[in-house]
Amino acid sequence: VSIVRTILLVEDDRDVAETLAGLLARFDYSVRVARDGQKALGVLRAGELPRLILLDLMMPNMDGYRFRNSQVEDPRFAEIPTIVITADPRATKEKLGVAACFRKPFDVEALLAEIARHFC
Amino acid sequence: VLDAGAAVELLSDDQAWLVQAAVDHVDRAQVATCAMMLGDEPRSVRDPVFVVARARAVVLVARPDEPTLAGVAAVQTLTIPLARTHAVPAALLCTASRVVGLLLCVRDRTVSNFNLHDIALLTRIADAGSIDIARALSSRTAAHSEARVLAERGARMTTVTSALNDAARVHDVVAVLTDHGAQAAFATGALFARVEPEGQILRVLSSRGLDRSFSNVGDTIPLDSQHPLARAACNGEPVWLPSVEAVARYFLHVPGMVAATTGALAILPMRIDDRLLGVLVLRMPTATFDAQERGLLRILVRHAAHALDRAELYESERRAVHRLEQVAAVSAALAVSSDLTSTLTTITEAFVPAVAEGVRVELSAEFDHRTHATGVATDERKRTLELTAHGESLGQLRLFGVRASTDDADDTLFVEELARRASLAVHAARTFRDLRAAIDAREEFLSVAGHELRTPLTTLKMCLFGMRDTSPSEARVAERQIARLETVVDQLLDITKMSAGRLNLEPEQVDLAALVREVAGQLDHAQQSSGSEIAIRVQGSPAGMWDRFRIAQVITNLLTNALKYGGGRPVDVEIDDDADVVRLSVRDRGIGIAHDALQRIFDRFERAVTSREYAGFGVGLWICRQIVEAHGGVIRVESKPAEGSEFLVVLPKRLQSEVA
Repeated sequence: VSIVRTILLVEDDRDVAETLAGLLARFDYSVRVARDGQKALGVLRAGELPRLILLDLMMPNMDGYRFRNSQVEDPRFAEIPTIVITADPRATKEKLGVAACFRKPFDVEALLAEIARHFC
Repeated sequence: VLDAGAAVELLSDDQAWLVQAAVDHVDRAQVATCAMMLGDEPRSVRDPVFVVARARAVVLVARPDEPTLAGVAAVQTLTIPLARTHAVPAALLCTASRVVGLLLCVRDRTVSNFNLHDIALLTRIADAGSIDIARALSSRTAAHSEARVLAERGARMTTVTSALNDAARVHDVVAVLTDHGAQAAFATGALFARVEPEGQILRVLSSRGLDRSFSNVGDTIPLDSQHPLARAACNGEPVWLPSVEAVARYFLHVPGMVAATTGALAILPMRIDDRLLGVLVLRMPTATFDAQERGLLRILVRHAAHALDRAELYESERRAVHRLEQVAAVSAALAVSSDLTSTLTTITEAFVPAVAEGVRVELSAEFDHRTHATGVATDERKRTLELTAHGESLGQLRLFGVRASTDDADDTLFVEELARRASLAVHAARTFRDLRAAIDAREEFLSVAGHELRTPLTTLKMCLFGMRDTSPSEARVAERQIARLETVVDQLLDITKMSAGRLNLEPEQVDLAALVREVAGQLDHAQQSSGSEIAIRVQGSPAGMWDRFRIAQVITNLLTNALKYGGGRPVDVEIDDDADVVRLSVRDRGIGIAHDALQRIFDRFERAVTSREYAGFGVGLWICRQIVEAHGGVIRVESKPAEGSEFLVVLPKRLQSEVA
């Protein structure tokens, strides 16, 4: 079961990443954390394909926007559902073409509900 | 003496007519019977009597059947119908040199005919009279010729005067003066020198018919010099030099100048009141400069002075208007060019080609010694202007091949004014550049600040979520405080942006009804905790080009307020699609707003209730107003205490900038 509940969390802030990963683990998700877009792409290219991607936007090296571009360009990763979590007030799911967009600090229950939706 | 009637007929000046000048002792009957001889019609050369005048002798005009007198020529071949009763001898009036006319006599033949004695007497009377008549005629001719000259001069003066009246420019006045003016004065040469605007120099504007050594166009003569023209000009009175000797004496100190000058010269200073405008020099082949001639020349010069003055005024007005138009055009162009590159281009275009052939703007170190040039950098007539604004040196403006007219004081002012405006524009462009950089830096800062403030709240919120099971009440309190912090962070960032008057809208097609439902959905929790329910009613399809995020902010704010102050009673939202605008009304039935608070509720840091009762910064409605007004819309409120409040937002469907 744990193998199918995989999530790739792309987040540069160590505290946010650890807390969110810990929280998700409590709900039986298997979370792989990548600290920027570059590392996340490396994970995907290594063949570890998650069921869901949680993506921050403002990150060093490769930010969320560029990661997202690379992701949708590659047919192997393009269809992986992606939820954006960002402090940018202007980001919307329509603009980014993602499943959902949560603004930091997000409503934890709402985020968990959205994530759960993708594992039904 | 002859006991006869008589008539005198005089030959016209052109010798073509005989005109009756006097008639006496001729009665009506005589005129009737000898109409051909005594009538007052002028005789042409074809008239038979003219033959008499050509005969140069006393002639007895007789009928063919009449006996002739010995020694008297009779013109019997004339077909002149003469009455039997009258005899008409005619004597020529002539002097040694010329024929002046004819003396006719008439006598009643039935009383006594003319005899030889009578004829001799008639001849003597004619001879004596001829001399007097010839003298009188010649003095009349002299008077005529003088009058003709005067009339001719008068006509020429009229031509000059009317030409001067038509001359609008200085150039035209000078041309009229040295052409028609010289003709009117019977002059064969003319020179005109004008006092330069600065008033210290005479410059020759026109010279014709005078030797080149006299003066050439463009020559200058300092007014304080001993040059004869300068002396005459300063003296102000005309100088009359009627002979070569007089000219030579007057121009004694200017050798070579007079060598080729022949005839007479008139040097005529041109003044209006005490103001010297120039000098006109006329050369005539001969001239006596009598009172009449002097008078005419004075009139000519006076007319010319007024025409010149008028032309100068007209030209300076035109120049002034043209300069004003140029300054206005440059100012307008500079006003819309905010960046340094377009400002420098506008500046160089203002100077070339209007003012100079080339221009080069050299900015100071603060602009990295930036330069911008256009046109030709010739080595002649260079000029450098300092670019300074607000006491600060910004660089230099170098002009090459400055136009000749810019020697004039007004033009100097004009060029300096252009340079001053250029300086201000460079200064403004720099301020704009610095401001732009400052704004960019602030935007960057605000973006980072937002990120940095929200990220720790995210972690805290997740930690508290994890603590809900272990310490539920503490977690709830901490979560409420975090919610407050969230609001405060958002508002702080918004106030910072909006206080600088800078709200970058990102318009997109927004369905207002859908957006209101979305926001209401996000406020589910608040609806439950307040006990108020939001009822939404939509009319038409209200949509427009707006900034989705900012409009959502307004809706959130109004709905949150309605729930907060709604007293647990229902909140009504109405959205109407109305032609060019969309109306959004949010109405609660809560505590309402006191009348005196209604005025300031949209101001910054204002609230209708005390801060202890309800949390927040008191900037929510101020932010709403900023957003609505940035969209070109209006927000207002109607409220009665204890009855509730209604907030109304009217939004144009398109932003003004987009309509434009």
